[in-house]
Amino acid sequence: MVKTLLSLFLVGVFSLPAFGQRRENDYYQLQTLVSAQAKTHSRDKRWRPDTNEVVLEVTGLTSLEDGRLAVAIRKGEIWILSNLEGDPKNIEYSLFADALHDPMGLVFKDGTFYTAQRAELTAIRDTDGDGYADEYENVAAGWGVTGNYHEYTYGPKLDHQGNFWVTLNMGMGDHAYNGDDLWRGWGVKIDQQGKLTPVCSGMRSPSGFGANQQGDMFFTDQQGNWIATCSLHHMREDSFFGHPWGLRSPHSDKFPTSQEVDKLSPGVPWPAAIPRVKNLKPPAVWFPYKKVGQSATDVVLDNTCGKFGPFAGQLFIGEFRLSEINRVFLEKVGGEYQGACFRFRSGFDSAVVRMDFSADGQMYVGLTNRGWSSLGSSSYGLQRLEWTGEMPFEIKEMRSKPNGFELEFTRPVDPESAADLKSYRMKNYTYLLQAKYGSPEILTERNDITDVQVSEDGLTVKLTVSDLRQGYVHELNCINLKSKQGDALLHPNGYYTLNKIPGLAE
Amino acid sequence: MKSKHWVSALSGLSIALLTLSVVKAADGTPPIIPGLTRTADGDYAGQPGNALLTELSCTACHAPVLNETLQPKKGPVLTGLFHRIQPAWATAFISDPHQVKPGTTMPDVLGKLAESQRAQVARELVAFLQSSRKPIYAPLKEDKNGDPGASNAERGYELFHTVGCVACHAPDASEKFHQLKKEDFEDNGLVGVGPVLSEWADSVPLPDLFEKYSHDSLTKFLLNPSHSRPSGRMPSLKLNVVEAADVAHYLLREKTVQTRPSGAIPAPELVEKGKSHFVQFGCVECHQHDADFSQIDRPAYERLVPERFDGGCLDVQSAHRPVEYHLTDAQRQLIKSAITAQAPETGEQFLHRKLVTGNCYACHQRIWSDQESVGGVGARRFSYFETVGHVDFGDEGKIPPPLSGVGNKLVSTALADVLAGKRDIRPHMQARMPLFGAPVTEQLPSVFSAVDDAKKNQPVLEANLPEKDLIEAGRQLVDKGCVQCHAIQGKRMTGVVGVEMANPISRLQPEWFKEFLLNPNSKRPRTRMPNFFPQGNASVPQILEGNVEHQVTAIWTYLNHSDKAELPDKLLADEQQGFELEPNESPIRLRTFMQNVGTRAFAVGFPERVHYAFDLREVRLALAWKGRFLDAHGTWFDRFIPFASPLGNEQITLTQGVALAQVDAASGRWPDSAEAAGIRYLGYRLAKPPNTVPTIRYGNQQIKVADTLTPTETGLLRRMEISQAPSDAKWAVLLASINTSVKREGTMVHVDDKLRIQIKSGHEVVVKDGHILLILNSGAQKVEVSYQW
Repeated sequence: MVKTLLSLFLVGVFSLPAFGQRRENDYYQLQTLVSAQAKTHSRDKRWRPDTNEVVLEVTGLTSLEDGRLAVAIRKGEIWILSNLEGDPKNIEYSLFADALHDPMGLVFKDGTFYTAQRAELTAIRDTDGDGYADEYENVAAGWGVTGNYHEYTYGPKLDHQGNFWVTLNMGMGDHAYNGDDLWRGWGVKIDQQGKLTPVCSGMRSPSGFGANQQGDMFFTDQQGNWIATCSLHHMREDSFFGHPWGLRSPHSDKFPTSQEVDKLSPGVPWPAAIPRVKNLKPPAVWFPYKKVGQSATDVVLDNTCGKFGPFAGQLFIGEFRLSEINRVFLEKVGGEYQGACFRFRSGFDSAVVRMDFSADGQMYVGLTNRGWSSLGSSSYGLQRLEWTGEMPFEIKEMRSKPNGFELEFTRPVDPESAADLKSYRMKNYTYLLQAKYGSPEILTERNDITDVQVSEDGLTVKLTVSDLRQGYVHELNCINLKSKQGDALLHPNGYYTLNKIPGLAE
Repeated sequence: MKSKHWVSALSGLSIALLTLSVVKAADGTPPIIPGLTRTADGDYAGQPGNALLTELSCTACHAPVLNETLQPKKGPVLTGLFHRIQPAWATAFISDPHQVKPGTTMPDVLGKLAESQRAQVARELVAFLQSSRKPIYAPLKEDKNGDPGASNAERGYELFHTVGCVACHAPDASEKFHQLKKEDFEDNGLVGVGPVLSEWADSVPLPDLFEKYSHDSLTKFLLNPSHSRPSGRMPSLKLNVVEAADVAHYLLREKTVQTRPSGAIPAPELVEKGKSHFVQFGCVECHQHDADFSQIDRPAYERLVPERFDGGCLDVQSAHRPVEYHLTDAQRQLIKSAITAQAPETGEQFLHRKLVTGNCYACHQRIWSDQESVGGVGARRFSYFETVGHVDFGDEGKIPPPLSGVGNKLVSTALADVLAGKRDIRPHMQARMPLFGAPVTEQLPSVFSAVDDAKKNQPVLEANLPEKDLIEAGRQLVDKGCVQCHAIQGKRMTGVVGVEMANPISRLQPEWFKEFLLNPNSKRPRTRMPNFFPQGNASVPQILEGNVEHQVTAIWTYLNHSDKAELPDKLLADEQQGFELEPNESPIRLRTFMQNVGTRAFAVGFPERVHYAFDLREVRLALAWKGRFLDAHGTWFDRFIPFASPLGNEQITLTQGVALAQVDAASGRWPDSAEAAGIRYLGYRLAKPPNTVPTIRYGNQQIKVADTLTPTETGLLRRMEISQAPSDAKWAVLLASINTSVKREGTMVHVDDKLRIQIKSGHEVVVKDGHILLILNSGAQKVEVSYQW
């Protein structure tokens, strides 16, 4: 007993200075490359479209193998930035392409850039090697563009088969379908020959998407009409995600009709809605409103094999309004993806719209908040996020089990606090599928943690949880959990979307 | 209250009342009081029966024993009815109000008479009403909004379904609203969801308006309803004279009825009898009329006491009820319990009753406690509430604000202003805050204040810093965040539609302001307003050393001095912004949405001040013009991306069809779309800088065109390189479309007396289907034409 007390005392004395009040910045450092504050403001009176000022309102971002970075901006230009390693003052800018209509993504493949304009997927090439594009090729078009501002066209991104994916924002305001908004609210796939296939429907504002390690495509949607809170969905054939306006486009009978979904407009809890609507798929992850963002954007896979820290293979999710990045762990249960989200890094200068990893494992983060607003002091910019090499204390994975959850941590836990049932709290809730804007958390119930098993290496904790509910978000709060070194979790909450309980009979 | 569905078991009374809207009383439709039906499953204030006593105007005849505040609703002013209501309708209504207007709160006062007698009395009553010809409304006049005579039913339909009429009344019979069944709502497994439970509000019934009104009289009524209905229950929706005429036109089912033949002058003896009936049957107790009734004896009415239930209006056994409302059992029961209780209302009960009787709950939610919430726009009516221009503003931009804690939020003078029809601070919302009559609103500001325990003499936000420092710090803070969504001094950034922020001290309680800034969610759950002080910390630490109290005070101080202080930088810059594209050395390209070109417009401007726009969707050379090129503001900056228009002059429409197609010898028709022609836009190539002239490429598997336009002194030179035109069919390119005339003169073609096209490459030109077509030879070739205008 004396020994235990003593060791606790020692931990207290020696670890507090080192680990007390640890912040995100201790592990992931943010460097500003371009910020509206540092350079000329996009709304500065001196700014003119025909000057050489680069207004990096980033809507597309792709890092090139030679260390340069290509950036698409809202003004419709693609810039290539080089000399990024040293003082940001020395970054060199080169205009590559211009006269693009709201490019909303950027991909570089086989010497060609690809971007989705409002009405077209375009390939852009510099055929004479002078560094300025001279060929703009129409790869695919044909989706509806009525002129409504909210009909953004996002992408492209590539899946592992080499297909381009594009997501088509819904227009704002419920208007009768007249053929002009064909495939709005859909995720479409474009093969190498330019053939366009509408794949899945029910999107509202799919402003970001990307492939996971397996090459499956995931998009984020944003809270709004029919979308209860921001979400991460697996884009696959014949799946419908809940927003019915896109169903006015011609579609196969694998999808519900818009009238069928309209009937639910007063509101149905999601678990009850799933059996009532053909091929309605719940998101793999719900992002509880304002707990983990309130306007999800880009989806980027950590493909750095550890250069960016302990989260290799997981997804990072951009967040617009709160100017931050969140993190997602996914697993397959019963053949479908589901998983948990966690907060990751806040404090960006403006809305996080696009991210991409450099070859050396740093994350470039493209910012712009025009038209909406966000935290942070700038209206646009480019920042770089770098792992310091120090291991943060985080819930790395939260896996569902037949009778609870298994948590894997980035560092060993303190066995005592980890074995204490009172270190954890859990509740679960779901959302309404309804025509209204968003949904509160509904039908909330507490879960009791009835047993805790801590692995020998202290990296894994198994929680036995009573009254798990299929179809509900299970919100975990590790309030009193400490690491072996005595520091608290950097982000003590995990939010698991339990679409299926493993092993539970259908 | 709705939430009581799951909070507590329903009382038997509530269950009975729930069915009020669907179960008819034995012999007629029961009166509808929508504010009450909406909340009938709860009894927060304990005495919703009081609302029946006022809304059925029981207390117009019968004095309540205790409750002095139970002012009866009463009926419309009947002076000057001649000018307003069709006599035939009035006669029918008086004879059988529940038949003519199901759901009316007007009691049947003649029901106990024999049928023949009833018709006679009704005729005499109407004769009396027709005899008063003093108009109460001034004639309609044309004003700056236009001529009410030129009304438009479609605009009326639109207004009726957007400004707020359908918050209380049912939407048009053609609307989806009527297909949504209550069962669908109940079927959705929502037990346990509380405030989001779909409410099923009754609609305020309308009679056959065409039979009742003329276009003129309905327009006047809609302009100023409380003038003839002093109860104030029917509010003004702040329609201007043209809007009122439009809505009236729609409501009269698009039949334009300006005047009707006026009824004959009634015989004096009928008028005299009618006047007597007016008093005898109690009409005078509810309806204002300027006749002198002092010579006629008025009947005595009982006080509202339980002892008089038998034999009175509520006696179901009696065949001779003095008046007939067709009450449901539940309504009757509720009235009886209210009369039996006769307890003075608490402030909360009084406020709740006022919100019920004004049907404020139709639009506004009020959360009374953790578990009790009333009102708000229901699921069936939700789609009739929209944001102007469909801006993505969430429900906050569509749905009127909640009234929870409003006494703590607004200073009571501001609330009084809102209720008096002033201070419309949500111009982005299509629904309008109606202007109710005084009986609905006059006590509300003080009652809200009392019930919400508004802190008197709240501490002002102060910091021990020089005011000018606070103002400047506030200006910078407002610049960082607030101006992205809010207007200040009427100035707003492009596309911004949020609530005006200037001078909050005239509107908001400082404490509320502070709490809202520090945690917007605490005042408006799930608001889109971000928390600029996450976890209570300043998100801009470099201003006022990140002191949160000081920052909030600085924002408050700046906003209250914003009329004299400088605008935030972003607004200043926005004001001075210019986006005109001026090609000086090189051609400028812009892909944009463009009037008369479409959503895939490709505009090219040349330093020579000649420009063109190509429609890439329809593969069509659309427009050309001279002088100034384009303003890119709409494309690059305006969130709502308005379609661009040429800035210059001498604009001509060149073609109205696809640029390349096979000539169909049989039909002589030119395909009406690129798709029909099998032609698609392939891309464009640029010439070397600095003279980056684009070459637009289009075609299909068989034939491809590279189309280059360059400026000349008088217009544009068009060069087309054709790859391998097939020999088995005749292909042509479209040079121009004709509106009025075409004339050939050697190699020159004159179009519409404006445009000259010179064929330089010697190709054959034909006129077909309103188009000037250049016929291609087979094989590769070059086409060269010059456009001059």
